[in-house]
Amino acid sequence: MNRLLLKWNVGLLALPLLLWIVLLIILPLSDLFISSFQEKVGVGVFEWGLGNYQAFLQEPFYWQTFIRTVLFSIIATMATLGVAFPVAYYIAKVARGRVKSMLFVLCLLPFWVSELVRNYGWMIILRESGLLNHFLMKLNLITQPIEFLYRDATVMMGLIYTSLLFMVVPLVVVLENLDESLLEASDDLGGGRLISLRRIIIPHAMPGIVSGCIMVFMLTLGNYLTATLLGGKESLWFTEHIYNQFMTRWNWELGSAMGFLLLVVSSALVWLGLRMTGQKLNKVMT
Amino acid sequence: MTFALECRSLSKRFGSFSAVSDVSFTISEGSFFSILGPSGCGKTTLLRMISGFCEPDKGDIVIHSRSMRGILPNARPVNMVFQQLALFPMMTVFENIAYGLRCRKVSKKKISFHVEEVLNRVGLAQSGSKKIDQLSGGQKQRVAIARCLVLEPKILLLDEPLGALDLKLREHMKIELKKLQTQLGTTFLYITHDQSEALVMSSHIAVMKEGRIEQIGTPQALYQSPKSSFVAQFVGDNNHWRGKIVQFCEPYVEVQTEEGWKLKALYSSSFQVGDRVDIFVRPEAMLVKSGEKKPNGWVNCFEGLVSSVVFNGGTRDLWVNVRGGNGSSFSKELKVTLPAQKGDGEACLPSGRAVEVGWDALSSHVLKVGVK
Amino acid sequence: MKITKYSVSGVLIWVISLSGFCSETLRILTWGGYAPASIVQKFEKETGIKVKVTLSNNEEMIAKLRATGGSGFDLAQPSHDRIQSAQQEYQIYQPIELARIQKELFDSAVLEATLKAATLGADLYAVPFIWGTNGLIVHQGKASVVQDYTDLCRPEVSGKVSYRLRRPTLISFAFALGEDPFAAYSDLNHYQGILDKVEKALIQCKQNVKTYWSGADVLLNLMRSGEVVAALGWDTTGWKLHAENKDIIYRVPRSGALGWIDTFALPKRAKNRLAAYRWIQFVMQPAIAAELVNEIGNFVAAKDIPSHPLVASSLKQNFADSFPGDTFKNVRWYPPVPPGFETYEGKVLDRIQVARAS
Repeated sequence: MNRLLLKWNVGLLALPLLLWIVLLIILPLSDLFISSFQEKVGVGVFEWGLGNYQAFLQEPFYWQTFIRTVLFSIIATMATLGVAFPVAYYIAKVARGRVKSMLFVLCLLPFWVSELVRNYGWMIILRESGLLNHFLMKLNLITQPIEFLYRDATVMMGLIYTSLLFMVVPLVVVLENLDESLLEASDDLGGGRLISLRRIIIPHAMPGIVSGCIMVFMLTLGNYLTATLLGGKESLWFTEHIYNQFMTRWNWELGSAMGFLLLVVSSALVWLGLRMTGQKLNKVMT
Repeated sequence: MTFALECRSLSKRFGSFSAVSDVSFTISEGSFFSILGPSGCGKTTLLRMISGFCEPDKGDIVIHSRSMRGILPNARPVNMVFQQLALFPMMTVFENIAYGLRCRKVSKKKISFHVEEVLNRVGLAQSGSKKIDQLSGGQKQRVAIARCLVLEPKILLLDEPLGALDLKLREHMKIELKKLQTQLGTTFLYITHDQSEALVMSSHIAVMKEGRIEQIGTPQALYQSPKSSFVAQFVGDNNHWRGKIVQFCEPYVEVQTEEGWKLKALYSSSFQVGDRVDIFVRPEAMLVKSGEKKPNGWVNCFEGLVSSVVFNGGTRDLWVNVRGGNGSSFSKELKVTLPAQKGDGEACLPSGRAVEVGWDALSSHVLKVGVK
Repeated sequence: MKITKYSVSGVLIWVISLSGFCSETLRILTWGGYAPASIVQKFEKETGIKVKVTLSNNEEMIAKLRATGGSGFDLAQPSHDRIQSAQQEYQIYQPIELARIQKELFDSAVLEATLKAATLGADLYAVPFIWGTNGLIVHQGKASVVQDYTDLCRPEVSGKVSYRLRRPTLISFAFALGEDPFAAYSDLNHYQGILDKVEKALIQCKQNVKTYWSGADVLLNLMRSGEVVAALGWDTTGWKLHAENKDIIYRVPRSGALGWIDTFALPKRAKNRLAAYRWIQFVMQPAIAAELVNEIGNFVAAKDIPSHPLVASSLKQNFADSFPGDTFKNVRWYPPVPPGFETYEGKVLDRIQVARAS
């Protein structure tokens, strides 16, 4: 009797995970996959075919946006890495005690408000009549206000800002594990700072770098608000296309095809990144 | 004469704690010099000052007549084998050893020549392509040394590199290191808290205590004539009494210990009646006799009972519970080390057997208390 | 054993709460502000029916109902021009029984426009709730030249213009360019021709645009800060700005304002239709409707509401200023969008967005 109940309990405990996997991953993805191969031939009539993928390839602005989004995400990921690495190094190896936890909290701070509020904050600061221009004018550095918003660089900055934490955390974790005597040994053997960085610190931090990059890349690729709100007139993010297809065009089939393509390409890029850096997914994700 | 290394009145403080105070010594070229001391005695700080990872507050370090003041670690003609070895886990054995040469921008061809050569020297000729975690403890040790040797340092600094090894390997590596040093002729500066390591390998040893050097000398000198109680107790095993000189009776002095024993030692002119002294007797200097016949020539002779016997292969250690004689009621356990000869098995001196323990006056090493 | 008890009872509670084992509820899928708490409270007090409001927008409303096959809600409030095509394609609504509603509660012009747009065969699928218009929001001192949509492209306002990159902008420009896109709904080729013309105009106009606004908040900030002096926007946004700054006005352009109507529609698998009808009746009562107008800023499609004594005088004034005389009659109500037209319009919008400003 007891054992039966125990089994039931274990089953109940596993239920949320099972439901989560089936309801939120397997079902939607297979639905996405199936509907991406359905072509609309009339009102409420569908046929099987590759038409949606063809439509994607035949419309330059679809795949151009796609490439643009992927490139932007790669650049944003690299830039985030560039910004996060010194920060993480400082937190892991230089800062001690309260300063350390304070710096960590500072990285966390942007996440206490929603993404929308965060972006509105940037808009208040960067707009033509915004705070930054106000100060620059006050300081007589400029005579005419500059529009900082609606530029690709602004989008990039917003993306880096949003992603920073997701890069800093895995980097801090790996860098904290770095044995300081390795650095001393390198120093002792004649390696300057740059050599130590390139040949000891970075190889050591590689699992953290790769896992951070995967996370940031995925987040950026799937970003919607930052790209739309801070971006300019030509700025178009691929997720915006997908949203449009689903929401305003009612073209779920093309939207599915685009979503599926995004999934496939991002997975392929992650795989490629792992291959190029010689990392294993299970090692990177733990 | 130029020395490989000269330390001149080195001092280093961390806050109010004085890690190294006024340390001076010289190391001649090609020697295997050890700094021996318990943990916290300042030996690691001393080594880090020599390697350049920390700057002395006072004093100077001179390597081959060149002052090291203000010279960065990577520019000093010394290399260090770290306590945990600090091999680079992301590189192969070859890359580890080539690291220093690459930093010096040596050509690829030369690098591979030098690395192969040094790998040969440390007996790892075939292991260049191995990953660090594929090596045994002893092999890692040799890689760590090879990584330094390939740079042909004037002095090789070793920071307790055997600490992480298991006992058997440690014993083996002691001999290996000694052989390697003799073969290479490089000056080794070795840091350890293990007196047996120091004794086995070194040509000279400096014993450190609380930031100061207690005694410098050859292993033999340290063992046979320690200049302080600390050295006598730290280097090798010793039986120890504390007492007072009570009278001279040529050629001996007589010492009354705190337990009430009367011990004889050789007379020296520096002694005066009433001096407080420590007396040390090495276990292997003691002799044991059982049976009726009273041995000759033992000026110190006590009766006792064997309490336990430890067989060490080549030797036997006896613990003998000795009553102080002369009616003293205090008993003391003395350690006696005897060569294990054929035929005198356990049957000869089992525990519980009544024996006489004795030693000659020459073996009583007398040190005045509170005098260096 | 305790753990077992807790987990079993926990699951039971979960199941019960899912099955809706509660008192009678009305689940409304609507826009933010359309079911204010004060009105909901009054309704609950009067009828004893609990109201659950889910906020959404046009696109998400249809997507939600499409995803669930028209279940999960008892009442939805999509725009009137989206009813026919959504119904044809996805069958997410059920017919409304006009007999259950007092027709005389409604403003006849708006009701007529809704009936025309939301009837499919013999069945009616929506009745109007609230209406509003798209027009120009103009800073009079700085952009007096902007009288019509195409004036947004004039050099005088270069870099200080904003509009949304959505279909209302396409339609507005089509009218301003002298076309009648609504008349062309029956002829796809003709319509495509109009779209091409609009596309060209909007690409040329791109250099004038500061940014395409995405939500009312963004537009409000752009106009308030003076970064934008003329925009295509909603009447309520314009009136709100006017209340803050008398120089900013909502202007019905020469080619006419476009009218939208948000409606009441019954999702296909609505559980509580009777409650839905009661809600419609309730909010269309003149007193409640007037309260709603004051709350939302847009006019409820109830009879004679713009002159109702309970409606705030500032709103009445806005209405009178924007629609002097009987110009309200000239509002062009969106006709139903033929199925598939969104795709063509969407592609035009895409091309405009990716085009480089010349």
